[in-house]
Amino acid sequence: MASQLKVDTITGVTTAGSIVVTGEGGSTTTNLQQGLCKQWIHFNGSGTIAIVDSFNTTTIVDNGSGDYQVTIANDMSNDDYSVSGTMCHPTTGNSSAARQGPAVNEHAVGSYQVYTGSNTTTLDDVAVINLQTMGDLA
Amino acid sequence: MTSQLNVDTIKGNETAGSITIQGEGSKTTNLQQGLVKAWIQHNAGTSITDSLNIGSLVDVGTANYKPTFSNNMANDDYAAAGMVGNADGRYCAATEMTTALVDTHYKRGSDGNASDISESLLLVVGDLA
Repeated sequence: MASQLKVDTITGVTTAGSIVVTGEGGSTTTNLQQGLCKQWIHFNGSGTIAIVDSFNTTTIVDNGSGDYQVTIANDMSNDDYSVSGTMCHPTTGNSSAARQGPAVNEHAVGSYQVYTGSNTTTLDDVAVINLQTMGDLA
Repeated sequence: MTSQLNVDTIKGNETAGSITIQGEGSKTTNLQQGLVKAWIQHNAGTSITDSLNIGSLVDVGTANYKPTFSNNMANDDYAAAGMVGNADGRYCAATEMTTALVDTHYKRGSDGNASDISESLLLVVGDLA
């Protein structure tokens, strides 16, 4: 019979922040906390920038053309985390605009910088940017 | 002693779709918000290598694909991340994101022209319907 667990909070017993989960194949395991995305954001990057939706994100800052800072609400434990993402310009349609990025740099425990550009070395705003952060929470 | 929980389904008690989980350090995070809701790896064409929560893959045109979700997202505000397997400066642009699909275009960074890919990876996080 299928079992169902109803719970509000899950904490590891031996190590609070480490829970092992059996993988799909049944023979190997993975780590629940390490597999969770710790922060994500979908924001508008041109004109007046604005967060469309997000998780564990405090603010975004417009530092100039194609230059943004994302601030993390609950910090990461170090600056070794991984951010991946995609973008779109303009917001709809099969744009032929040549774009570069998003590139992520200046990782800090509470923020990271995002850069987008044209097909040259010039930074340039894009309409929509999506980012996902994986790594260790503080 | 190490403890083991055998369970098939996990649901929030107070809020079915919201479970707090202890992070690696002292902070907590949200289990549902941290889970990838859909992912797909595919080659040029409609051949799906592997996926989660993907119902179909539509080949719209050159370097333009629409992976559709099996279980839809709650809204179009989610975050999709695309990576390209080619080694020659391509990028993934998500030009339309709906509750049911992501319209993905693969382009050359040098000129922005559509350019088919040898391998594409797409991850989606956000709220399930």
